[in-house]
Amino acid sequence: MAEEKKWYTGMFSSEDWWSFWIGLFFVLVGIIAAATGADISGWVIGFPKWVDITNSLSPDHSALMSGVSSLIVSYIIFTIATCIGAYFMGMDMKKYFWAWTLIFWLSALVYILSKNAYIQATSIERPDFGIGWSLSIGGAHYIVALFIGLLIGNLAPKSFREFMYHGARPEWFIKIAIVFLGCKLGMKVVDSTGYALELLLVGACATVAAYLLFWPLVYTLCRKGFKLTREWAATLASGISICGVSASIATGGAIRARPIVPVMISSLIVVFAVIELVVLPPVLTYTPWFNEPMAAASSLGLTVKTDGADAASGAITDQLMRTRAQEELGVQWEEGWITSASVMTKIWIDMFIGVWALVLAMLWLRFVEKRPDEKVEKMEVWWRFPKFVLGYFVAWIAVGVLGLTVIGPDAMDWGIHPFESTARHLFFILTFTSIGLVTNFRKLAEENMGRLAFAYGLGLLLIIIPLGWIIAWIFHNGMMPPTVG
Amino acid sequence: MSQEQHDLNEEVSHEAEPWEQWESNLVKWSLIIGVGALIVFGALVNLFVLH
Repeated sequence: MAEEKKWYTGMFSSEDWWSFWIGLFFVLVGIIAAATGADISGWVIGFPKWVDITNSLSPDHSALMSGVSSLIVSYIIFTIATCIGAYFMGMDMKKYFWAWTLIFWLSALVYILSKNAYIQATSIERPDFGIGWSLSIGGAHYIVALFIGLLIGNLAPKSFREFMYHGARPEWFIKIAIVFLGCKLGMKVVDSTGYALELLLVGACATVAAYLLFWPLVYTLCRKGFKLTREWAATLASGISICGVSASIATGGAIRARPIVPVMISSLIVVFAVIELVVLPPVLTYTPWFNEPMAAASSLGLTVKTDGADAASGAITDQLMRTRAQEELGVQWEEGWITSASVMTKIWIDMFIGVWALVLAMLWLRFVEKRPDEKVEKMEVWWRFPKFVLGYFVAWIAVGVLGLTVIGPDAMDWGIHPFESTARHLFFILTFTSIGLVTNFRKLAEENMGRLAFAYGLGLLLIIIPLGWIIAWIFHNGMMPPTVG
Repeated sequence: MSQEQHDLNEEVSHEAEPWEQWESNLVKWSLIIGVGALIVFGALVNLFVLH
């Protein structure tokens, strides 16, 4: 299984590691800017709300350059960074470059148009823009990006869709954004809230409980209810219980399932995750879950089964809930905490993939393949460990420790904000566009996918979502996002 | 029908192996540990973190 592997295998060839390298490279740029005062990070393009389109672009450090220059510089720098990663990952560089370019500019266009104040301004912000009405749809840019991606991914000519797949890498983009999110938690440590550590702790506890309840229940449903074979049942149970695509692939490898098994389960996971991404944020925002925003966000981490869709649904919920809180309660919750709660729960789940793959590998060797004497390599845990999670923690600790000691909070915030916030949002929208592009609803219509889809859908509705909601509430009840100021 | 679809049809339709005792044990112990973690961690978190 892993005889030829070293501890550093994949360090320059896997998507996970390239999320780590690219994410931390930019975090380092932000830290150097903070330490030296040299403005090498402020070029990152931001997309503010606007009524006059000439105000629709602004670099993070607004005095540094014009908005258009910032957009072009951001395109060039992020293109170079991702192309280096794509090269080492063995992608077709020409196709990646052109597909990425299309995705970047399409996402930027959607971002600009959707941030119009008539679409997104809250009632409190309307006087600032001089407008009398607005739709107050916070996060509209994410929804529009997803919709445009889905239109292209499902209705465009096949040759064009296949071309776009070369640049549409939602898991990669969101993992880079998650490394940036680590900086936000680092800044919160600097602010001495202690809240970030509480969130980390309760997220870990919720994950352990959820993990060990989800998997056996779904496995039993698949085996006894749907009469699936062990390899289909185990792979589906891991996919729906743990961390979607990564878990189904890890489980497929651990139990030596045929390659088609994790591939087909993965396509189901992606389709269902998009349905959850569209349905769950408004459900959570406009039901009594609104009174438990952090628990609601954590439930997304437990129930939405890809990193991209989870962080994306957390970002939409963050926007929707903050907009509603501002409109109805007159309270301004800090941006990013609701997203952080959904991501943090998911991160813990991601970390368990390796352990669970190891457990399943040992069980299958002993009971299915009847080879109890064969040893399973313990390094599997490390190889299966999601490396972008390392990046997330390194960013968190580096920003937190340096911000508290040698650099200082104000300088750190100035240097790191372009990546902690602005670039993170840019990579979020790239993720939304890409999720739409790679989601193919036609897969569900394929023969015999119906049975698997039914098993997956029922497992999600009867086990994962209800249990996830209960567990999220038990471990996060009463937690509220900090308010601005 | 593509080869991939043919494989899928065969695999999903394939008769499932009988449920064995080790599967019962795996499910049982996962649930026991999961419920235990829920109770113990839930109590600790609610006592010392949330309130």
